[in-house]
Amino acid sequence: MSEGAKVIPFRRPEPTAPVKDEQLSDAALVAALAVGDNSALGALFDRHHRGVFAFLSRLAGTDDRDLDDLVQATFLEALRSAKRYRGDSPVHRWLFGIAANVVRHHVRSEIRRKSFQTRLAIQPRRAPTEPSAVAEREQLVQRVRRAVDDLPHKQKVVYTMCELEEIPGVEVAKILDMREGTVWRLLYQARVALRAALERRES
Amino acid sequence: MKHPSPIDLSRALVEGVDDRLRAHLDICDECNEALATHAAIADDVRQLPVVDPDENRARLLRASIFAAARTASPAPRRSFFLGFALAGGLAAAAVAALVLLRTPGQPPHVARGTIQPHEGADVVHIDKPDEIVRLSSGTVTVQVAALEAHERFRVVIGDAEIESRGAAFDVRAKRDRLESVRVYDGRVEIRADGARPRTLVAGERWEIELAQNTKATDPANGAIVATIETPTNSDSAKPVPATVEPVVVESADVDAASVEAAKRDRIDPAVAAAVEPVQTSSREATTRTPSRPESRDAPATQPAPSKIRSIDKAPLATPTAATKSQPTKPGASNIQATDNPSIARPARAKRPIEVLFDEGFATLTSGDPAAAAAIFERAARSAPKDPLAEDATFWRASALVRAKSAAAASALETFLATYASSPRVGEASAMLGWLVMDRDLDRAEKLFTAANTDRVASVRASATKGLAAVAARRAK
Repeated sequence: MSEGAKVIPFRRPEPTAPVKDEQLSDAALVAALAVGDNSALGALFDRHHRGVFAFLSRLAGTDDRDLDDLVQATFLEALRSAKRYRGDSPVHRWLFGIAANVVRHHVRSEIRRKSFQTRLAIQPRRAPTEPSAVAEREQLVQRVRRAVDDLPHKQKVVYTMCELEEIPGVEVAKILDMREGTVWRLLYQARVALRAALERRES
Repeated sequence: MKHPSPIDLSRALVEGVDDRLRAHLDICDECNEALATHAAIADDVRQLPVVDPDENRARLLRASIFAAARTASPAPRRSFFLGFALAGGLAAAAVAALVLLRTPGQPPHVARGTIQPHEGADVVHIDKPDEIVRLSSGTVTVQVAALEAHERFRVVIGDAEIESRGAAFDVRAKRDRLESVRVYDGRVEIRADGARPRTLVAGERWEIELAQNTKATDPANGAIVATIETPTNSDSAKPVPATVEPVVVESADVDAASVEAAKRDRIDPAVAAAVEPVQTSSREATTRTPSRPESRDAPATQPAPSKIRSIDKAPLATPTAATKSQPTKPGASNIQATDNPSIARPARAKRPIEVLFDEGFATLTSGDPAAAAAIFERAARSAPKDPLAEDATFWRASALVRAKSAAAASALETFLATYASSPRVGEASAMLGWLVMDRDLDRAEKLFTAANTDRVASVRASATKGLAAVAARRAK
């Protein structure tokens, strides 16, 4: 028997949490990941990849080309971090927290890349726009998209989690490892920034 | 008019409006407008399209994730630093290749566990990188062959894991929670959330119960009650503790069964005879529970929030070879075998040292300790670095003592010099103490003193007697 083997930090699900008899619970899949069962990764992906895709595409600042890489990085990071999962929040929200961190690193590298391109005067190609053909609705979507893109990363993550994914603030604080008061402050700052950006663009 | 803080207002959009804020909003147009604006913007943001991957895209990505997970490579990212990363990776690979060339590789993994799921069991068997049986519900009967040093075998449930290095046992789980473990052969270690790790040996059963109206993860509240059942001797009213504490069981003779059990646990079935050759005949024997290094070195564990009760002497039903070979309604089980679709696997072939070791025991039980000593010597020489060589050396010395051979003392000296950290040092010291007493009282006293701190009670008792004998001789 291996001495010093650690007790796997599993947590029993709350009595109210439904556990399906027919299949492993999400927490059980993460527990399996924690002990090196990579097959659980496939099951976890099947259950949650759509949610992770949606979450990542809402965290603006990433274009569609990067999404596959980000989703992949999120699930691989989940594999590495499975031992740290404590069951404080549902698994899909835990994945959102990982995705938010993955995006943060991605944005940093994007900033470096853009800085490099600027120095070399290499501008990324932009899709040709034809304003006359663009509908009013699409213009609004573009404006909102840019406003969200311009939000600082933390504000963007908190706004997406609280407002769009409707995750309770207490849980967001746990997922992002910050105080609950900080969550509400960031949410408010995100609202103010969005409002200002949209009003500025309208004018 | 006192307005609520803008942060509280923003928060109210997510968590709802309380009575106090509602009363304020009834009379404050400014705050109403702020809330409406924020809500309208949130609606607009919510309308932004999100990516919903089609089946093909998801399938390709899934395959890509699996490939990356298998090779443990970092997730690919489009980065300016990709070139540098590749260069670094190549350098690391070169270093790793050099290291691998200089390091003997691990032998290919062979599955050690035979899994027999009972009806309705939901179980996944993975044999790489460590052998894991993932059980979420139902009962499985597991038989684990002796593992190599680098191998592990675990049964994993959502809230616990059971590890074994060679045993036959049942595990029952419900809704991804461990319910019970029953050991037929060998030993297992149970590590359950909210309970202390436990080691069970053959004949013991462990159950976990969730107390009602208490927080499940708080052992201080006694929420989780571990019940350990263990068979007892008919002449003993005390239940045998289910820890690794040594237990002495008197036996009239060294029968084949006790030697087999002793061999499995690497214990000496004739320890009393060997320790006190003057006072006991070679046919009298005492067996005791395993004395592996980890159990000896581990501090004595206090019985945690558990209750230990005895059960009838009748042994637990051990699955026979016939019943083991036929799983209960295998068609009704939900079995998923990963990487290896085979559920039942043949036991691995024995190593040469194991074959010799077994032969030595068979010879010892047949009443020929001198021949057994020779076989144990061959076993130890066949693979001096094998962990079993330590046992073979000890048993050779023990057999020589029983054979009343003149080489017994030097064999014990050799064992003590070669395996100074062995858990059998106490036993060997006591045996040697008795042997050298006639010619070297000081040496005998040192050996008995060393053996007197042994964790095994019978060894300590022998050492105490030895010290008394030394004192008596000095008095004369």
